[in-house]
Amino acid sequence: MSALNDKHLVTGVDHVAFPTFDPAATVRFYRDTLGFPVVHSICAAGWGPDDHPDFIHFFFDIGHSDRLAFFYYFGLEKPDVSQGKGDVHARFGADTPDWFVRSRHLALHVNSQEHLLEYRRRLDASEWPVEMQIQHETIESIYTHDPNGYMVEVTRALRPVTAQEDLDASLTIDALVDIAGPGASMDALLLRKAELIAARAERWQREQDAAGAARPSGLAGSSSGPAESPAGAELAEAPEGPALAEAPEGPALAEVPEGPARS
Amino acid sequence: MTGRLFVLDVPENTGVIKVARDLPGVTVGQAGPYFVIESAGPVSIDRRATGMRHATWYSCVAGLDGWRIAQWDKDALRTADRDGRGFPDGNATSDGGRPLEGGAA
Amino acid sequence: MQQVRVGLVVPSSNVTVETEIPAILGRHPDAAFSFHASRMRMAKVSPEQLAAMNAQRERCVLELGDAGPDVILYACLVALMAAGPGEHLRVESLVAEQLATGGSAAKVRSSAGALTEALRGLGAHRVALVTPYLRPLAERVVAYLEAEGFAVTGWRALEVEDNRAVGRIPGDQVLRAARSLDLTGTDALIISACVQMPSLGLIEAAEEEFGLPVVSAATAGAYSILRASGLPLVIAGAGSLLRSELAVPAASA
Repeated sequence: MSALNDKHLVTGVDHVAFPTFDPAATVRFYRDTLGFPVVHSICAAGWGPDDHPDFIHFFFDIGHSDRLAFFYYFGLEKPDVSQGKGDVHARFGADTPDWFVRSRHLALHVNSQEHLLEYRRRLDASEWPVEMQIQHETIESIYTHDPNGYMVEVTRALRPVTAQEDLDASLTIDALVDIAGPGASMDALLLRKAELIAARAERWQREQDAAGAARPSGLAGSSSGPAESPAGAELAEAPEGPALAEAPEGPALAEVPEGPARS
Repeated sequence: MTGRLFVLDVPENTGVIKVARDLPGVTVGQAGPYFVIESAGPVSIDRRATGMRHATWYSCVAGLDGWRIAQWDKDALRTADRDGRGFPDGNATSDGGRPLEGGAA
Repeated sequence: MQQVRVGLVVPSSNVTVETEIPAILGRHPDAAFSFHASRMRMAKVSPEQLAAMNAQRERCVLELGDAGPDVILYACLVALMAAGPGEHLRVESLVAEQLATGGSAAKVRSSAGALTEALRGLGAHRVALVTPYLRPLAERVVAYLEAEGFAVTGWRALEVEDNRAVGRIPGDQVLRAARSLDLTGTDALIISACVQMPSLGLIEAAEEEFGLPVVSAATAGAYSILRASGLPLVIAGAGSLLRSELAVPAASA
C-alpha cells in the first residue's frame, strides 16, 4: 500500500482546453480584455496515426497557476454557427434549452466585489460586454460569452463555506449515487438524504463539538457568525437552482438590484 | 401523516425556519447541523414571508421524510402526505409519488 | 538489424555533427542508422547569435517531427550551457513537450545533456576539457559542468570565434592543448567540448597517450543515442566510452 494512498495530491487545473478558430480574437478577449497573460505555447504537428493538421496550443494564466488553453488547428474549417446553439466546439439544435447549453461553462473566482466590478468594467469596455449579472445570497456572478461562444463566468462568494455545508454536500452526493438512474427524481433524492441525515448528522455534530468547532449560528446557538469550515475560508458555490434570477437577454443590461451583502 | 423537512443550518435558510416555527402544529428540532421541521400534517410555507430569494429558496430543503412536495414555486413550499392526500386547500393528486417539478419561477 | 532514424537539430554552420556522428554509429554491428538534419542559422558563437538560434528551435522540431524520427538530438552544447545551469533539461523538456503534444514518440536528447550522461556512464567525477571558445564562453561551460556535479581539474580555450573556422581546427592543435593540461587525478578528458570542433580521429590515440577515457561531444551524442535506442555500446575506434560492452579478450583487471 503506497504511502500516498488516500492523499489528495492534485494541485488544481494544469489546463482546461478548448479549440478555437479565431486565435486573434481569443487573445484580444483573454489577454487584452481580461488581462490573463499568455504563459505558454507549443507549436506542433499531428505526428500520430490520425490525419491531423499542424496546430498551436496556447495557454492563459487564470490565477493560482491554473491555465486555460486553446488549440488552433491550421487549415481546419470553422463549423457553421449560424444555426442552432452552442459554441465552436459543441453545437446543439435550436430546440435545446438554454439552461442545458449553459450547463458547461468556466467560472473564474475573484475575492471581492471590487474585483468583480473591475472585470465587469473591462468586459463592458470591450466587444464582449457582460450579458447577465446575478446575485444570490451566497454568490455574485457576471456572465459573458468569449469569441468562440464559450460561456465565461466571473464569480465571488459572499461568505465562506461552512463545515455543515461540506457535510451537506457529501450527504447529497451519497444520496445521489444511491438513487441516480432511470426514474430518479429530486423527491427520491430528498427521501434518501433524509435517511442519511438521520443516520449521520448527530454523530457528525458530536465530532465537531469534540474538535472544538463553533456550533452553527442559525437560531439555535448563541454564537454570532457562521462557523468557519475547518479547512479555512473556502469559497461557496451556490447550487445552480432550477431557475436563475435571469435578466432578459439583449443589449440593455438588466441588473438584479444588489441585495444586502452578508459577510 | 407526520412528516419532516430537513433544512441545513446556514444563514440563508433562517427565513424558512422563522416562518416554520410560527406555524401552528409545527415544531422545529435539530439533527446535527440540520433543522427538522416536523408536523402531524402537511405544512405550507409562504416564500415571501421568508424573505428568501430564488436560488436559496429552491435549494433550502435538504431532506424529506413522510411527505412529498406538492408545491414549490415562487409563492410557497407545500408538502403533502405521500399517500396522495393533499393540504386541505391544495391540489389533490392521484399519484403520490409525482416527481417534484423543476422550479417554475 | 534494428533501424534507427535519428533527427539532428544542428547550428546551420555546423559540419561536424553530420560527419562524426554518422561515422561513429555507422560502425555499429547490430543497427542501421539514418540521419535527418534541420538547421538553425548561426555563424558566430556569441550570446546574441545563440539567443537568435534557440528561437528557431520550434521550426526545426516541427520539420524533423514530420520525418518520424526515433530520437532527436538537439546538437547544441555551448548554445545551451551559455544560458545557465539546468538549461539542457529545460530545452529537452520543451522539445519533448512539442513532440508529445503532436503525438510523436520520438525521444529527445541534447549534446549538452549527452555529455553529462556519458561522463556519468563512465563514472567520471573529475574531468578536464578542451574547448575552441573565447574564454568567457569556456568559463560558462566549466560552470555548467560544475553545476552538474563534476569537478573540472583543468581546461583550455582555443579562442576561435568563427564557427566555420572551429570546424577546421587542426587535430594537432587540439592535441597540443590537451597535452598542456595536468591530467593528474582526472577521470576523463573531454577532448572536444564542442559540437563543431572535430576530434573523432584523435580519440583512440589520446586515450593511448593519456591513459584515461577520452570523450567528445560527438561520442557523447552517439552514446546517448545508443542508450535511447536500447543498443549495446559495441563501437570500435571511438574511445572506451562506446566499446565498454564490446566482447574483448579479458585483460587482467
